[in-house]
Amino acid sequence: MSADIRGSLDNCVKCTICETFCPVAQATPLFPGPKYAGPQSERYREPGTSVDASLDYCSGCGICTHVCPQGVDIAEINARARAQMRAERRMPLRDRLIARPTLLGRLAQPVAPVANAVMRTGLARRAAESALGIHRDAALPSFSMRTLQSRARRRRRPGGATRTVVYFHGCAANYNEPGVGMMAIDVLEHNGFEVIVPRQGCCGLPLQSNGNLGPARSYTRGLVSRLAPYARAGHMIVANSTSCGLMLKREAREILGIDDPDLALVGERMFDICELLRDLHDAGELRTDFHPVSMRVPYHQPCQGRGHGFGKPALDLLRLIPELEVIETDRECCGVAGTYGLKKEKYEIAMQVGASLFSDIAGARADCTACDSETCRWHIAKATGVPAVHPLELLHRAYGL
Amino acid sequence: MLVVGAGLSGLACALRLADGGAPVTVIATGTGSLQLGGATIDLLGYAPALVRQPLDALAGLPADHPYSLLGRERVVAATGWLAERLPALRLRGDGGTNMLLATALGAVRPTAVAPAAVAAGDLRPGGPVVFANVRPLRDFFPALIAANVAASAEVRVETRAAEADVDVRGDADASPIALARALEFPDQRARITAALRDAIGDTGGARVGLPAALGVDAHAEVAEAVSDALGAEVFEVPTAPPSVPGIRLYRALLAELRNRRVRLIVGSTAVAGVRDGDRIGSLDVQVSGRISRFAADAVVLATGGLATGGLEADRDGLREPVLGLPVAGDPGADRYGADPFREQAVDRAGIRVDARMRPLGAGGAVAHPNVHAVGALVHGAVPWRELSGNGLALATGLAAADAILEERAA
Repeated sequence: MSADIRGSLDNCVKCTICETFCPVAQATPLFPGPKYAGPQSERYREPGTSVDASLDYCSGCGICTHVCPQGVDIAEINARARAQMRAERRMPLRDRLIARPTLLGRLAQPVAPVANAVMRTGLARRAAESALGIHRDAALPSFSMRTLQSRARRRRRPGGATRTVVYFHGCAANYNEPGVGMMAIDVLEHNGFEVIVPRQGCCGLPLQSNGNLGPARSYTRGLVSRLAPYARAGHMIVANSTSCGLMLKREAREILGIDDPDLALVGERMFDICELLRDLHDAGELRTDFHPVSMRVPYHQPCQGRGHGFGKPALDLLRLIPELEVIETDRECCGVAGTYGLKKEKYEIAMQVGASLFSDIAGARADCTACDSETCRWHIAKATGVPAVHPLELLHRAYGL
Repeated sequence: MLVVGAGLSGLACALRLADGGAPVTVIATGTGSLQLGGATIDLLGYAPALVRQPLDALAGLPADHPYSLLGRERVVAATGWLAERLPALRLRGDGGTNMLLATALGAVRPTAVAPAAVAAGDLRPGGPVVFANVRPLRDFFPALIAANVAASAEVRVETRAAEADVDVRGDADASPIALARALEFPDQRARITAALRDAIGDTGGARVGLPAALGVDAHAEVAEAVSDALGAEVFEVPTAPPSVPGIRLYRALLAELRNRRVRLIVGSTAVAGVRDGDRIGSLDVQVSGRISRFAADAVVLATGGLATGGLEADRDGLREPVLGLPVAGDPGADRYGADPFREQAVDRAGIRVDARMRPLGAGGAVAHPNVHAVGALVHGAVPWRELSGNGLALATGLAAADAILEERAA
């Protein structure tokens, strides 16, 4: 572990603020809380002596680091310790599989209609639960027949662009939600950007959060080598997956320990799409030719969105749309935390973590929920029966694109 | 307007600014430490003897104490502001007289303003009190509290203790927040209060002091239901952190800030100011991945004192890390005396300000006309010894906000 991350535990004054915010510790006694599992236990950890199996119940949402007034990298310490623990044990096939969205995407995309239909059957889900340990009720994405890469290549580009941005779409937009990816491109082009969509792979985050750091590093390095030339040319890079953007801004360095100038440069040039558009608006450069959107929409910021430390840019943007009634939710986490809530033994915890958010949404008589992160959207939509959209989709609609 | 810091001084300042129509962004490394404190507003508890009438005692403070700079009227207004602005907190007390409350160890502690359920534990009226706990809650010892309160020279209270063995959530240990959440479910509440009733027996008209965990979101409902179930007036006694009353205060302030559309940027640290003549035109903030520049008409530093990073110390002296403001009262290397329980040489160190909370340079002139320093960062007070922390936070935070709003109006 990099010395500055581990060293930050000395700043811990045992104030317990992280424990009051930890959504998992509030939902289940199986996780003793971030302070106990993190700065407190870390002092006693040595390679080969992972005995605190409760650490496996940390969902990795990162709220503890975010709220810590003393600057202790609690979530990062726990992520490293979890990876160490998992390296000492046998990694289940499931955790190696669900952590490779590019692999799943490449396998499923050519046979998408069949794969989607099969995975919607109760029989397949029960089989997946008993063979793999993926909970039968967990929200799984469907796969698209055409990838975003292929759609983006064939799109018609508007002329008159005044600046350039590189689009890091991530795996979900490529294989599961290319429609969202196209909307991101539309909104950027509408605001005068020439959008470059380079070939790109997974950022390695799912592997990292499943404690599989070696392969995660390979994926991260592969992606960085694709994006670094653009960063060196001075281009901004924009991500519409909050968690993947955060991976390149921070987590790859802090958790994977990749100390690489190219990664630092890519991270420095990386913007979440709502962050970029909000900053544009602050500078008076965002187009505001919005049509009214008469909807009632609770907005939930994903945990990884908080990790960016940029406030709630999506909320700032949604409030620009005439007649859109935005309700800011005040809940920490929806529970899913990427792949955590898919797992048979953790699904109930994930549902319990999200329970208050779900009941807020159910009580809001909402037309849809807005949330920046794809896995959160799938989980929230499944749990509430209310469709969940990326804030970008509402902007796209308001622009009339 | 940029407010740096999310403790009471920063959040109160931000809310007052937003109420006055100013666009506000709060930038904070973490959530601030409101959740550690008992949500009481300590105005002045010791000077140096126990203070009974805090507002009257202000006149006896040194001329360079922040309260002296502000004057009695401003302190009175600040003390009443929170109760008026956040009525849902049901704050009691106005600073005229101090209540005397039991601490988690049973010491008797003066405070000016407290939430109703905490203020109900004011020991001045006397009368019998039972201190009670449910055993899974760690670090709360009713027998210790009862014995210490009974031995106090400040109050005359008859006390006894009771402990109930009852399952809180299937765990060997329960934190205050776990207990508070459990009490929000009627079935669990019924179980827990039944066990408490059995443990306490006949209250004989005594008030019952319970760990401060009477609900988080549904506090008023929980407090009333527990009181009904026990057939006694109940009050909250502070616990070891986390503090549930502190969490309620933090949540109430945050909800109002959200209503006022204050931008909250938590998890990022202001690292430097960018000068524009003698003004600070923007702040550089370490966000994820890079330094981001935030333009500012006015900057409020509510970053706290030595304990929370508002001041940093090295071997030779103190520095203010964001703007490099001159630190007054810095004793250099000899910071601490031999007796840790006495005032230390370093205690009053901080940023010297004028009545508008603007930092003063080495020559005594205003350093940057659009910068303000508030809360524990300000020179001249010893909050831990005076019991004046939250009172100072409110008075200085609101004074800075008012100065900024006046300037905006002009």
